[in-house]
Amino acid sequence: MDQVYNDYILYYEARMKKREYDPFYNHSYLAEKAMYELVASCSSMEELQGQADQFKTLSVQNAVALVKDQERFRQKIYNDCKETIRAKAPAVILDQLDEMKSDADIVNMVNNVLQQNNIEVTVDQLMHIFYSDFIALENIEVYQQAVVPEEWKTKIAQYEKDIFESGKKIWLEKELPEAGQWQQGWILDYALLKEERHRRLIPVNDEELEKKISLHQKYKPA
Amino acid sequence: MPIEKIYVDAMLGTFRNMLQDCREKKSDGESFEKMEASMNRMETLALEMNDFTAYSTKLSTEGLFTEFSTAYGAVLAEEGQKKYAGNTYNDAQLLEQTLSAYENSLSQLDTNPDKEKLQAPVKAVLKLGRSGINYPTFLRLLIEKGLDKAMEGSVLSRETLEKDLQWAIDLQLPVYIERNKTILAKYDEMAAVAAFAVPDAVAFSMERFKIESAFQPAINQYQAIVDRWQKLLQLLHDWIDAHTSFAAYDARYASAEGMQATLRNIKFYKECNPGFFKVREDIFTRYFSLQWEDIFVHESFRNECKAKRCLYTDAYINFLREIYPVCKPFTIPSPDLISKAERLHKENHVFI
Repeated sequence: MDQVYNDYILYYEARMKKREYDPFYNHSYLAEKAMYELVASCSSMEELQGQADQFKTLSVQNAVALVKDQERFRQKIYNDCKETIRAKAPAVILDQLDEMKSDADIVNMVNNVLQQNNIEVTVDQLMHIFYSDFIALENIEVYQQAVVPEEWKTKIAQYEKDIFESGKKIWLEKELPEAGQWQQGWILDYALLKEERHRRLIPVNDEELEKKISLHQKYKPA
Repeated sequence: MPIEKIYVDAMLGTFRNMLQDCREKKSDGESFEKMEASMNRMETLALEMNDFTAYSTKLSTEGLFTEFSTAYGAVLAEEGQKKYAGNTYNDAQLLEQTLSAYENSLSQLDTNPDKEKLQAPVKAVLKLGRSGINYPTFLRLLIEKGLDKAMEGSVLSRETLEKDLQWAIDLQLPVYIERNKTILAKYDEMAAVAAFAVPDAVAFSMERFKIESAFQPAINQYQAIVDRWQKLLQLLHDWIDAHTSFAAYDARYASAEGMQATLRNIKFYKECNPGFFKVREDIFTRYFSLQWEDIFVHESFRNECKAKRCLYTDAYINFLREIYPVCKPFTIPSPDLISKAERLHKENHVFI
């Protein structure tokens, strides 16, 4: 066997061994192993070139295996974190992966899925508008509930009205139209706030959350 | 009116250069046509739309960046295939092409602030490639020496994580300190069992995501508590000072409409702040199950004082605690408390 070909066998063996005891890359290990076995079963570059079709197939399977290992891990972490929107991307990629016929197919598919998922994540994060309005909602509560002398009641009622009006203005003239650019007809779906990924970011108890939702529906009406 | 040229140029400049580069190389075929179509769509939208935010969102929702980049990648791959199609195997040529690419990348790192650290593994790769070995041996040794991982930039990863931790320590942000320590520990844990002591980039980035997700609620809660007790202290401060002799000359109460309006503002603070305070105190308790006195033993208070982010001196905090029982709707502070406020102000004992 010529030295260069023997060195290729050692190279493919190194690729396989790199994944051998890594539980994270078990699909990749098996794919690298198949690749190594093919290369090692030949004794020259010419003989390997005679198996070019199988080599190409294994190369694609190798890429599929790598993406599969990585997306499975992503899926596990997103599921652990209850990041249901982000978890959609690995689910779709894993679902379509085995149908891929070439590296280019894989790249196209993964890019398209991630691009679509990025939009979904951005749309989901529009829900952050709610918590960012807490300061305004508290100001409303203050002006609604504060015990003050009669002479100031008109003034603070006006303050309260101003907050409602400016909130509505920003909502209707800026936030809703901009949200609609990401997803036509977007509405602030308060039910989503109770999903773990949103709920954990709002540091108040459920009773307070309900009060705030009720006030927010008046502050930024649908 | 179209989107301003300066914004469009900044956004599309790189893509235009890529397309121009392909045109100069006489690229053609389906992928190149897709590049052109994506570029045309981006240019057309820039002319048709007039709001930059809407334009930027449109490019994302239509997937034009992704479409263009994917097509560009395909064009480059097709070019490579054309270039080497039909060539017989030439070990030395393959090695030389690979090393030339690494040499080019060295010059691209010249302006990087971490130039020396980033160039070091590339130089090691070049040294290995020029050591007289053949192409497959070069590829194998890249793996066995961990140089493939080193070139992913992992040489900087741990340093960056250490810097993140130091940032949190310097700013005395306890939850961030805990979070960044946890991330660094995870890196070390993964490095300890990884081949060549470099954690897998994808696995580490996801573990990091998990840790950051776990700590974000505590980060939000800490800041929410701080923001609210700061507001309570400020309301008390503004209330007591509204009763002092210097109030009329204090910017907090000043009106551009003259002294009469200023005096009316002062009256507003005197008479309304106690009511405002009570509502905010109630919100504070409802949110966090914390009472007024709990503030001063709370970790966030101790920490913010230590980090000098609490504006008030210890003496003034004690004073605010003294006036707290008096700050109720329809009450006024005693002359003694007002005198004390004036004295603390005069002696510069209010702010740290």
